[in-house]
Formats: sequence, structure tokens, C-alpha cells
Amino acid sequence: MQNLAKLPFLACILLACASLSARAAGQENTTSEARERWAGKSEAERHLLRRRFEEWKHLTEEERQSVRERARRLEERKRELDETATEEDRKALEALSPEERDRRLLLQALDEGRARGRSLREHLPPELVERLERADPRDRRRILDEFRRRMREEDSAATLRGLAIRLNLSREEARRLERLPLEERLKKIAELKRRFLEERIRREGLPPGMSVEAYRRLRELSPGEFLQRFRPWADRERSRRSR
Amino acid sequence: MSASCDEFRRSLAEALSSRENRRELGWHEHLLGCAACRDLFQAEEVLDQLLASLPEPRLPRDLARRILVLLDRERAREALEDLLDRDPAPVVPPDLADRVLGRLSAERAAPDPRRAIEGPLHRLLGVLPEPAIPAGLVQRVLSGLEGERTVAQRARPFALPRRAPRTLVVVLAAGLLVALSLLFWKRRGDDPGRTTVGPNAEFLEVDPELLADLELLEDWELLMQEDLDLLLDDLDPVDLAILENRAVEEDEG
Repeated sequence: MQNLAKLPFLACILLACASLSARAAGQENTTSEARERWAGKSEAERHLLRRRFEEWKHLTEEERQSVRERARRLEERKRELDETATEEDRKALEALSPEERDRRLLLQALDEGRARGRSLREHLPPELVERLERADPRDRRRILDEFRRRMREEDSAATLRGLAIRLNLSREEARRLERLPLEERLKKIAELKRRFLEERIRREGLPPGMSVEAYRRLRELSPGEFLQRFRPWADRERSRRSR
Repeated sequence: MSASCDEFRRSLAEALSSRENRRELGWHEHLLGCAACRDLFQAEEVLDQLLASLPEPRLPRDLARRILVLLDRERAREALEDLLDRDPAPVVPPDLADRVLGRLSAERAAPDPRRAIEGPLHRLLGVLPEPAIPAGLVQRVLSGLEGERTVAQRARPFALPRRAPRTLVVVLAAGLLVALSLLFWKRRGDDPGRTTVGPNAEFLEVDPELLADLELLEDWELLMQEDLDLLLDDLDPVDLAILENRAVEEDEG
């Protein structure tokens, strides 16, 4: 009986070992893929990459994090564009080499991002846009971060109140949400915004271009990720309404 | 020395030999009046204490074994002597030498059965003619052997001699293994922060951190664009929700 009781414990250890091995193997695969790519580059390309790497090392941790975040979002968007490409676009993509295909998708994702950014200008205070345009490009992120911090502190409670009204929450619940600490308020904004979008989809149906399967996958994400992935559809909807 | 002194010293001698009643003796009334006996008694007590402080005498640890060994040897010698004593002196028969010599002569005189066969065989071989060796046989045999050797050498160019000792093979294999291991560890130990890829190591040395961020570095010019619109696109969905709400309030207000 004692031996039988030890079985779950042993199984846990084996699973942990297997998981660690798989993780190590995954990392090793990623590194070996990168090694292969590196080996396939010319000396001039390697020189350029080394120079970029030196620049990369001189960035602050916050700057690096923001570039990584941008890369992650672009990667996601590239995958979505690939999955949702029209028949014509798919044929064009399949005619390209993997590297060219990757670059084409990346450029497309960047164009979309630029268009989104352009449309956001009208929601920002004009004096901020002017200041950003005039500023040295290296100072722009710092200026924008300052604005975001102040906006979150000053306007997050009002945003919660507005979402509570649109979701028909009680006055007491709205007041309770407004009094939450800043970090909690920001989390609640993401939750309520997601709830608002889900209720609208329930009433009006899926946005054009979104499949049931894509929506099912969206709903499995956290509120923040849900909103991030929903942005392309929200942008299309916004531009459709503005027309 | 008085009679009482004699009596006390006799009692003391008895007490010392039996090692009993010493304490009682100390209170003997004679000691109160006799300084000489008192001194003697005290001296005996001091000696007794000194002896008591000495360690107990001990026998050497292997004494018992040594004694037993000696006893065994003694017994063995006695047993051998006893046995020799019991053996009677040998008596040589007077005609022994004659009998041995007579037997040897008889053996030599008897005919050998092998000689009976070999005699006719020798005679028969003598009748046969001498075998003639064909001319050039030696050269042909040698050239044939040379050809065989060349074929075998082609088939196994790196083969060890057939009679190479097995230990030599094992030593060679172990040496090769050690040399390869040393080479491997040396290459790893030269610069642990560097990774060497492929045959052209000089050009392929690369920082592992560079490899980890290789994808970012490849798309560097696209990712690092300082385009304002791309920067605005980095805004968080929560920030966008706040901005939207501001816009709604402004529209309504």
C-alpha cells in the first residue's frame, strides 16, 4: 500500500522532469534555428547585425521591453494576416520565399499599425500631437509615457463610470469601482470594456471578417489580450462608421 | 624500641600483607605515644598511596598468542621426534644390487616391437626414385604469394597486423578517445560566452545573446522606426479605452 501511495508522487516527479526536458529542448531548438540562420548569412550581414546588437545593448531595459512588445504584437498580427488572407493574397504569398513572405506580412502589419496610429491622433489633445511632432524622435516615447501616466490618473475613474453606465451597472457598483486603487481601476477598465464588446457582439453579431472560430479563440484570452487582438476589427468598425 | 613497638610493627606487617584493617590500625593507641612508629606508619601510608597512583600493570597484548605459538612448535617437535623414535631402522637385503642389475640386463636383451615395423618401411622407401623439383617452381610460388599479399593490403589498408596484441588496440582506442575529449573541452573552455558554429569557426563566432535576439535584429530597421504614428500604435488598449471615453464625454458635453 505504501508503494501505491508513492505512485502519484513519482508521477509528479516524472512529469516535472519531462516538462523541464521539453522546455530545454524547445529553447535548444530556438537557438539551433537561430544558429542555422546565422550560419547562412554573409559576412557583411553578420557585421550589420553585430552593429545593431551593439546599439541594442545600449538601450535602456524599458526601451528594449517596448521594442519586444512591438515585435510580439507585429508577430501576432502577421500570423492573423496569414490566416485570414483572401484567396488572391494567399496565392501571392505562396509564390514568395519564406523570408520574402515574412517581410511582406511584416510590412503589411506595420502599415496597419501606422494607419491606426494616424487615426488615434484625432483622439489626442492637439497640443500633445504638436509637441510630439516637434520633439526629437528619441524623446517622443518619454513624452507619450508622461501623458499616459497623467491621463490614467486623471481619467480612469471617469472611464469606469462611463462603462458602468453603458453596461447598466448600479450606481453603488460604479462608485465602488471609481474608488479602487489605480492599478485595480485599470484592470477593471479592461474587464468592463471586454464585457461591453461581448454584449454588443451578442446583440449585433460578429464584426465583418471575424469567424466564429476566431471569436472563440479570442474569448479564451485575458481581458487585456482580448482587447489587443480585437483592435483590427474595432479599427475597421470605427473607420466604417466615420465614413 | 619497646615491646609495644614490636607488637605494633607486627600488626602493621600483617595489615600490609593482607591489605586490610589499615585504617583501624592508624588509631592504634601506641601511635599516640611513639613518634618513631607514627613516622613509620605515615611513610607506609605515603608509599601505599604512591603505589595506588601507579597504573595497573598489564600483560603485552600479543603475549598469549606468542605463548600459544611457542607451545605449538614445542608440541610439533615432540610429535616428530616421537614418530621418528617409533620408526625402525631400515634393513637392506644383501642381494638387492644383484637383483636390480639382472633385471636391467634382461630388459636390454628383449626385441623392440617398433623396430620390427620400421625395418621394412625403410627398405621400401629406399626402392622409390628421388622426387624431381619442377624448374621455376620457387619463383612461381613466390610471385603468387606476393600477389595475394597485395590484394589483402588493398582490401584492408589500415588493418593492424594479425598478431597485434589486443592491449595495443585497447590502448590506441583509449588514447583516441582521450584526445578527442581534450579537444572538445578545450574548445568549450576557450571562451564559454561564445558559440562556434559550423566549419568556418573564425567567422561564425557569435554571442548567445545576439542569437537570442536575432529575429529582432533582423527586423531592426522596421521595428526601430521612429515614426510617430507607429509610436501611437503602441498605446495600451486600456489607454485607448480612456481616450475613447474622453472623446465620448467631449461629444456629449
